[in-house]
Amino acid sequence: MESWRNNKAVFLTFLGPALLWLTIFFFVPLAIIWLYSFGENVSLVDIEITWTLNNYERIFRPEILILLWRTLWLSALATMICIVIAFPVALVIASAQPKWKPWLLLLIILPFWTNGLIRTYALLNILGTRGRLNGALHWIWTQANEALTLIGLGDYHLLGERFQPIQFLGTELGVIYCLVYFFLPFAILPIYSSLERLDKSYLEASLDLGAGQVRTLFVILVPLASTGIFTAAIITFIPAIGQFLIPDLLGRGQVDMIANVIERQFKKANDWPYGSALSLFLLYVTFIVLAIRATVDARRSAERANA
Amino acid sequence: MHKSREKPEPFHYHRKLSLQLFFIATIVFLYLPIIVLVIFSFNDSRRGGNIIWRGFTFDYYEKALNNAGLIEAFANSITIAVISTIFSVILGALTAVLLWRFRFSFKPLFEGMVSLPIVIPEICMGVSLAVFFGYFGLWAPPGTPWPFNLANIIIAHITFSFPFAAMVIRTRLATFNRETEEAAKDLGATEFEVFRDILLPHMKPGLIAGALLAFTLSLDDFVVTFFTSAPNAVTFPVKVYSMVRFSVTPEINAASTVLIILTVILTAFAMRFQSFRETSK
Amino acid sequence: MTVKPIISVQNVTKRFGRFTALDNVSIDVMPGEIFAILGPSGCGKSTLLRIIAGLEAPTEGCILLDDADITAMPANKRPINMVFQSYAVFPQMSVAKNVAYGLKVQRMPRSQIDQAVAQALAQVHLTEFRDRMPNQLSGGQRQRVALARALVKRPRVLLLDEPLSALDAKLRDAMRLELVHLQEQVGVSFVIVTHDQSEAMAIADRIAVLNDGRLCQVDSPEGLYQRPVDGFVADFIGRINLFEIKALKRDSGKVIVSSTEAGDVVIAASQAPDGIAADGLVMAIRPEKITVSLTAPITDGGTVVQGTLGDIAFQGESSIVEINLPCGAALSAFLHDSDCAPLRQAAAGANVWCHWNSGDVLVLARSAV
Repeated sequence: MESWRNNKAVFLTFLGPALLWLTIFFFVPLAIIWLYSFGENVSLVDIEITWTLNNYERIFRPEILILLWRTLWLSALATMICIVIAFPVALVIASAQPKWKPWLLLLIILPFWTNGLIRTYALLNILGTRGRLNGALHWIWTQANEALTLIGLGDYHLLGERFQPIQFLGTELGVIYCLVYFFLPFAILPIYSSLERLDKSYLEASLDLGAGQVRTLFVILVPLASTGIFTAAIITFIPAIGQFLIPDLLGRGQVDMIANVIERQFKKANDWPYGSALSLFLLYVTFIVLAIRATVDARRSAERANA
Repeated sequence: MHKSREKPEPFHYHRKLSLQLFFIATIVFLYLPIIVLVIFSFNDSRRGGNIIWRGFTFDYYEKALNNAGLIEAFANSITIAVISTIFSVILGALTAVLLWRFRFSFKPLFEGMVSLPIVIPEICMGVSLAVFFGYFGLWAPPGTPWPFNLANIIIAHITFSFPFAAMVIRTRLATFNRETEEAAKDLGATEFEVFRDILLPHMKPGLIAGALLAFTLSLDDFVVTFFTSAPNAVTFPVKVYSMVRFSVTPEINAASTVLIILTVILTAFAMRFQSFRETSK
Repeated sequence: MTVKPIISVQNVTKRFGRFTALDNVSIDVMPGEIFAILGPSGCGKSTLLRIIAGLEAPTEGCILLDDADITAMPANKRPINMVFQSYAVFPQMSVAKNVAYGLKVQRMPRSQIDQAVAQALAQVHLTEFRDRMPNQLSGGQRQRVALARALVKRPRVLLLDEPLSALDAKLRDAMRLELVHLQEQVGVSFVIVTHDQSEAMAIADRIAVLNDGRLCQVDSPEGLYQRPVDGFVADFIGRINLFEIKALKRDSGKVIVSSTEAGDVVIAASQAPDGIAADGLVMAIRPEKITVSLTAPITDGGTVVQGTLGDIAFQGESSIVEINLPCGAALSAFLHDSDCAPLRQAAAGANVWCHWNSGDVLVLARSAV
């Protein structure tokens, strides 16, 4: 690697365009919304930067804090479900025969390549009260009910008088379902990657020493794959908290997350200063999560170095 | 199959029936909605909702293909993807080579800067760009000829794609044998000739992978595009979104199915291309 | 008529931050010779080669080519070419394209290039491989591509960075001969960097020994071997026995050197360097200068040391015999088979007498400062 001084002309040619682009189209816009967050609407179209902290104060009102809590909670729940599902799936792929592995991976990744909007829309059909999922549940309910009737318990209406479809749309359940659906491939890949690189001899040693399959799994396998699991958690959680489309389409206005409030400020409510403050707030939350990740990573490496 | 009776084989989890079923269930979970979407694109649904199957028809495909707004949105998406990919790969390559080749005092800072568009929540990026364009009056005025009316969206897409492209290209550069560069210099090549004849050919697989990634990211994007589009500049996902909010008809399914097929073809093409290069090495 | 050097490295110093890789090194390479730069890992020899090639710039000092100062000349303009340690054959080009590359960038007309390439490939016996890709070649073949690629440009000097170290033993011997023949054919000066002293001794006309960035000695292989300038060179080149000197007394034309291993040794005054105290000196004797016998030798002068027979490493027509001295140190002696046979019959630990002539004793500074 050479010092930039060796070849200033080439260095600047390569640095210039990217730096310029980032500055103009990334940092300047962020600077502007930072300024706006201290501003007020003085007319329908004008914003004056009065250096007020009003917008930030509004963030700490109960309704917003509740919203923030809901955003974090829904994302965390979705992340956990994703990991619980992703781990066995990744395990299957990682332990499959080499000739199957690329195909299995492709199978998992293909939905990921499909347009996000289309995937979210596809769930709308499935999750309605008369949608496919409820249809299937209804069918199961009917079968189960008939089975009960057959054995003479029909009159007790053990499963209820009528089939009650599960409300997905417009509820937190629907949003979580969609979040999991959306982010599952994201979660599978890092865990797979971590398991793939695992030295099988650890497992063999454990079995050799007499531990059973299940014990081996939890005591040995999961900790060794923990980097992958942690990565999966991060790359699921962070995009999840910034989600706008999923709560919008599936929440139908009932289940707002932070991004929905932000969107509203810029479209219907036309309160750009407040929206800017909220956006920056979301940004800071993201950075805090990343910082936590970095600290955990650093502590892990230090432990490993000292071990 | 009572595998549990046999001596447990370490790490052969893929053979356990319970896990196999789980895997299949996951696949069903992932694919079923898409399959249903495709099936219902042929649904002869009269009233809104497209929930109950009524009959088979190609009508809605006809409708979709005749929907000028939809076609225009689709064309816009492709145009934006192509143009932003070209610029993303160029900027990404410049950045990757810079980081690979040079030592400079603010290097960690620059690396952090370049990876910010990847970590930042999409809505923050969309919002800040919308505000930026408004503040400096950089919105393409209505009546701007195609493709310049798409400039705002293109700029946004380049901004979030080029760091991804840079990452991919940088991975490829890491495997480069420095001595081949010095050998070329030793044989008399100028800086430019070294770049063109030695470095660029090595980077090619990385450039292609970066281009594919940038293309997909652009085609797929919703949030950032949502904030940087305008009535006269709409992309396919944004158009579909507005249609969905309005009413749910099989027309949307039809349009979506077409896009899915396109994605599959593109992916297949990319994979063919990749494996072809692997075998020819 | 004095022949002018083709390359003159003058007082070159190279520092990387606080680390000094080369310290005031000056060497001259003569036209038509094979010159080796020899030294242990980290001594700065590769850095020196790269400075000559133009891939690094010296912190101080200059490089002259035919009396012209080329220190500021960039690598791609110097009429000097290098064969890299990893060969650095361009993976995306065929053998012929690789060899042609240097000519292509100097804008030679196509027909001339084709002719030159064909000639170069013939010289390294790679004509049938001209359309092969590098990943289809063996290591030795790739090296020959790198050679052809460099030589086709008719450089004034060819630089080679550890040309033989990556090859297995048999290939190494073959390649060594090929390099010598090639140099005779082409007539261009070769500068070879190596850490293997036996290679340098076998191939080079003159050798520069580097240690820790400093130049110890430049001489022919024979000169380095017989007349090493200090303890480091003596130890680095070939095998040698080294003794610590306890005391040194000068006494009218003679010098008495005392050591634990060999007692008092009387040598001529000319053999001991002036002006260095006893603790800055070492005494050395080459293994082949020692005679070993089972009976006390009849000698006039020289040194006689008694010890017990240790290991004998049988090598065919010669053997390396280890003799354990009463003080605890060991001597290495190199004997031809005829002299060694009786020793091989003797029991281990048998008493033996070692003898060497005073004139063969080397008294050297530990290392040239």
